[in-house]
Amino acid sequence: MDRQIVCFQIPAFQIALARRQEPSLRERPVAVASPRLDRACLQEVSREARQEGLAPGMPVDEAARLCRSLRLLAPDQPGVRAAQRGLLEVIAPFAPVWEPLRPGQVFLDLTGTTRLFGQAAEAAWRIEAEVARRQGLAGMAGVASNKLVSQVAVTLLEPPDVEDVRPGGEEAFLSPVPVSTLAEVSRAEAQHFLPLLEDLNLATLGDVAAVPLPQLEAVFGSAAMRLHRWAHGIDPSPVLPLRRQPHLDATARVEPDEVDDQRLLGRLYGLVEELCRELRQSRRVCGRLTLSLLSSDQQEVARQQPVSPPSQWEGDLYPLLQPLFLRLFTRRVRLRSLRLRADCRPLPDEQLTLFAQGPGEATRERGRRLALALDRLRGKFGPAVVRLGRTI
Amino acid sequence: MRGVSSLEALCEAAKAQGAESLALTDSNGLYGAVRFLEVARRQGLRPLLGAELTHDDRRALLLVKTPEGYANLCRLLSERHAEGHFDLIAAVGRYRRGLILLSDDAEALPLWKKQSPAGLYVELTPGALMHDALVLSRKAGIPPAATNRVHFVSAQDFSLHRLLRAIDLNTTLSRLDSQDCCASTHWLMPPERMARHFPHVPAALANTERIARACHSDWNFTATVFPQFEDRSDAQAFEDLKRKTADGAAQRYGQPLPEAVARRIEHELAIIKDKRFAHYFLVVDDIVRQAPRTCGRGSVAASIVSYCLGITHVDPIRHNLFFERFLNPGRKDPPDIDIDFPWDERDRILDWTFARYGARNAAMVANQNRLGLRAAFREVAKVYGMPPAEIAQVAGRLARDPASLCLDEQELDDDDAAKLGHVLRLRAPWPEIIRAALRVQDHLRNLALHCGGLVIVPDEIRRYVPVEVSAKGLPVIQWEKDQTEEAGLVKIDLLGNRSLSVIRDAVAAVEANTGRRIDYAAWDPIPDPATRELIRTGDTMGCFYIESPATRLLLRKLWLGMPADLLPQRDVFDYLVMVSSLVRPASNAFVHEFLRRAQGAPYRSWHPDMDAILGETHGIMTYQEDVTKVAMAIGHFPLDDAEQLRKVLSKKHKQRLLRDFQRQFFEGARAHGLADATIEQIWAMVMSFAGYSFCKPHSASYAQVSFKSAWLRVHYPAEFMAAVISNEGGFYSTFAYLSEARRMGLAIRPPDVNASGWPYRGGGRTIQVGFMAVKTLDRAFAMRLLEERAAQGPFRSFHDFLARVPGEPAQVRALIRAGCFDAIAGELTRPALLWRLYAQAKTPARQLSVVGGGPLVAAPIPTEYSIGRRLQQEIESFGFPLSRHPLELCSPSPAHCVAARDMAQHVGRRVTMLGWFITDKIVQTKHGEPMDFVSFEDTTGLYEATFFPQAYRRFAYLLAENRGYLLRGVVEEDFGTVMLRVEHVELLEMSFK
Repeated sequence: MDRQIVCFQIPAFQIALARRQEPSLRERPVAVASPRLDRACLQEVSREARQEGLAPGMPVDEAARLCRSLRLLAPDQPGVRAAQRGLLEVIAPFAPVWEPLRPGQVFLDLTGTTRLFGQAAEAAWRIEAEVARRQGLAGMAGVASNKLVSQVAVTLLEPPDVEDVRPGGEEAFLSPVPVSTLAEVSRAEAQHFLPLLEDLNLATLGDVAAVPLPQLEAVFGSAAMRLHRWAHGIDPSPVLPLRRQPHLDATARVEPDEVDDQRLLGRLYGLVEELCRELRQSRRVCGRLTLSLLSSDQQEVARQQPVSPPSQWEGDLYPLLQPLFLRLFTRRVRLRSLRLRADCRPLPDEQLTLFAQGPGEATRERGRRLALALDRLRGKFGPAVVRLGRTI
Repeated sequence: MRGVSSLEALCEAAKAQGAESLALTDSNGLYGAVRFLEVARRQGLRPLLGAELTHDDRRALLLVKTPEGYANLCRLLSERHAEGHFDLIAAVGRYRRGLILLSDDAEALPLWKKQSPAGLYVELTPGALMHDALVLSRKAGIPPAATNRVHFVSAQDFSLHRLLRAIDLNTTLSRLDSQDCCASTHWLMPPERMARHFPHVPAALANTERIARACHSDWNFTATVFPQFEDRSDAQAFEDLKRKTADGAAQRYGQPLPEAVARRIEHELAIIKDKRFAHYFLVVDDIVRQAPRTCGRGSVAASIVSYCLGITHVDPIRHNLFFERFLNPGRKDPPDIDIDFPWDERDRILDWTFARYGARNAAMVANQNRLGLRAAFREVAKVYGMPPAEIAQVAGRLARDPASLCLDEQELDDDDAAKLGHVLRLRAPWPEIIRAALRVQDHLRNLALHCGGLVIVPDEIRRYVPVEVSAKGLPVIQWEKDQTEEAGLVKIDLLGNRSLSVIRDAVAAVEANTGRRIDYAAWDPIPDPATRELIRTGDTMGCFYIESPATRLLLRKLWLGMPADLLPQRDVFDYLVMVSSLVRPASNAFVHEFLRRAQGAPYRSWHPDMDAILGETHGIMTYQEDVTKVAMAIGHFPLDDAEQLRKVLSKKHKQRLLRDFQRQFFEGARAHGLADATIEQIWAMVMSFAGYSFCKPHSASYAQVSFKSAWLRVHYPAEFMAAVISNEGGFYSTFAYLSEARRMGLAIRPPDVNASGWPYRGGGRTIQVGFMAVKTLDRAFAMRLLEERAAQGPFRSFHDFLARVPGEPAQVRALIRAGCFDAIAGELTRPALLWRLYAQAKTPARQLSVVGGGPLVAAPIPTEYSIGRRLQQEIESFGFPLSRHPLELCSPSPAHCVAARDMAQHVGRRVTMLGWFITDKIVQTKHGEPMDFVSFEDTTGLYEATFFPQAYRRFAYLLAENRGYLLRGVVEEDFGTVMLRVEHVELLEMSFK
């Protein structure tokens, strides 16, 4: 049976939420950025703002120079989280499996639901209508037999709309798509291919698809197969719910950008807390950490650190991350964001000790009890209810 | 970069605290010693010299007690910097005679005490470790002495100290280790506050005062230290010089010598003998003989002895050059001989000089690189973690914005910084960065090599000044040229000159291409009519010293408006010497008057005495020595004062000194019977020499080289322009020279793997672009390629190339993108070539050997890049589009634009022109407002445009190199030349579609 994957998206989610409240924001350039910060950057831009040459990551000053009529909105993370929950509530009845990609964007695996909701494209229209009715938000959806094609499809739309790529038509559909779209649809590895593809004058996925695999292998080596599959519209990756994802990610946006080690390490600790809480909630442990630092000039560096034995506790992960951060952050350029990825595995059964605990173990145990207490508090009153001094 | 406060601030504060003496103890050096003597004496302080010697974890403070101690300190510091295995304890032990030694090193002090307890103290500094030092003093029986290791005048300067340390260590404030900084208490505490730290050891304070009294303070650096030529006595050296001069004179002038020549030689030799300068001349002569092409710069060209020796090449008799500008009986400071060598031969000359005179006697002069405001701004911004592109952008705005250009960098204060931040609409943390930059500006950044200064002493250089070793491995003294001269060390400047290399390379290319051999020594291009005509038209891009827009414009104005009847009377060489001296920062007001008078306009002389001095320059002060002569003739200055006035004019911070000279000049001139209004006009002309200016010998010497390069440009344009571009560093960019070459009718061939060498090559009507143009190409790889081509012949195909020059795919990629394989690629497109390159790079070497170097899988042939992509690749490869003018890629490009070559037909009209920015010169009007003279070019020619203050204020932010513009303005004529007075500017965007 062909898979039926839907990539549902509400473009510029925060702006869409704001426009729902304030209709005067519609049809004009709008962007999200931290207010009253001297070096703030745009976090999200509306279609109208994009047409004026604005893009996420652009300094607010520059954006204001380029677009005099730009209206800036302050980020509203609690509002976004609440709206995301509401969105998922609408979507959940339609899909046995769904995977949130980012706020306002979700993959749904509708395979086998035809009897209930009709063809996937029909279901996508119904979801759009439902979201519009209950949430007041205009969405769009790409429908295809896999995640890649459905995601590419959604990049070509304006809401409300649905693009349905029928099974067997994937390769033809992707053929005119520029190879740079691969990077836009979160295929991180594509970043490595793009310069090479540009050198070889392979501008579209169709150009890539026309090259036999052995010839691609001669240049791209082991990565050729992946590229070959993408170009032919093949993507076997499953839609996985959050708790079954092999990775957990947490990102801290640093605004204004910062160069001070202590402040940055404070933000890093906050990320570790966020990840560890997720790990504990999903009863998993982290076997490897990847720390990525994005500087103000958009250069990114990343390094991995094995965690042995795997753990879900701040007291185990942070001591590994602090020296990693100091080794990684060697350029004297301010950081805009820190991203932490944890490779997850199930929590193994714990072997209790037969012997009395040493002083180090007692301290560790106290730390763990404190972390659990903080988890409970945050679960009840929100993540900002209590914070460690170093993270402020 | 540890000490924060200036010498002036330290001395002033010490004096205000009631100090009688002050010791300057730089870390591991005497970097500011000579300046300190002057500043301290001005404040009425006894200057004491010393140094803080540190190595590994050891530290000692050394203060000079006797002149012998000074020499020993210099030797010790030199050893610290120059010897690989420096043992501080042993070295101090060897050199401590004449020095007072303070330390808190528990291991070293007993050893030094064992050697001799005299002049040895335990250093007690308030802080956590003072108690340990006191215990050590009592236990070892070594008397204590109090210090505070002062790094700044007041406690608030600690933050600035941390900032300087972060700049020095290339780190951020948060990552600065406390070990890398001094303590926050290391400021210049008043005596009573210091005393509060030593209630239990009053002896420490008493000992400090005793040490200060014992230190040497009667410093005298006035004796001139000359080099010695071989082991000659003064008399022998003079005889040698006399003989060599006579031989040279016979060659230059023939026998018998004209009477004027013989008289001049005799006059100069008498002064040289009297001043004992014969050794100096012989040493310079010795060095100059190592290169066939040199050029004397500065006043030395006024000496007939130098001319006869071949040190200079301009005849001082023929060109009426004033010897006293170089040397006179009353001159107290040593003479200065500066010689230019081809820039790429200079290192060899230096190596030869060190081999001949030895590192014991010779060392290079240093540059004490200081943080200028702009460098300080960049460095502070880096400490604050600002991204490089943002720093460049803000720095560019600071450099161009009228608001910042109106401010005097040296006088800026916090209020100005705030104002600047506001005007430029800078957000946090930029205003804070500007404020911090103002505070760290002018701090010593690092020691570097002076561009050519060399000091040779007769005995041992290390007894005069500490010596370090430069990155190139050359010994370098710790003083820059001013302190070197003030300390009496005679400097010889061996400077690099690119134009001499240009001439050498062009002459070699002419011989290789045509077989014509040009004898450099006998070559006299001055009478050549075509060369004289070229100079008259100002078409001198690429020609040494006369290629700047200002000089070219002045030449055109001078000669285009010259009445025909005056032409035979006006010698091109003589006027070239004048023109190149008139192009200087403050002379603008007098240049037009000069042009008017040169073209025959009548004028009334201010005083008959000035006619004798300024007759040949139509009454306009043109050369540096005119200042001396006028000051003597009109202001009644003694020679020494007149020379001082000339020197002061070229210095910064001269206002105080100038006020005194102005008063003196006015008094002298009034006594001469001149009215105040006239004196003011003459004084204004004297002031036109502020900043830099040139003496006539210098300009005459350089004009000779200008003529040689102009001759080559006229007769061998391809060889000449190829040499200009290949030697780099000219006034213009490579792009601008290539545009000029095209305008000269030369064809530009793109780089080619079988035709290019490393440099550009010219021949006939063609310039072949060299591999050096490919920005990402490594020279070593290109040399390997060239060797292979020379050994085995041209490359037959890309496959052949890969087999013969294996490895380094990134380098081959650079060649492909630059189009170097286009001629041998056959049906293969550039992407196809890259495919084969990448495929081969991925294939293991073992498999390659099996299949004979070819790719295992037949590779496809993708379509060729679009024209736009190829142009983009040209810009990436060369920095500019090579195959067409960038204005052809710009849009919008209206059809009604006036071409540069047609400007003269539109005088007085408002026109629209296309312009590619070539270069500019920002100047200030007499009201202090910035304006800009910009050279633009379009596809037909180069033209000049003026942005008066109003236009500059409006459009300065748009102006930048390598950009295209649509300009609207009025074409104006001045002395027969046309310029565009800009009224409106639009930026053009390059499009690659």
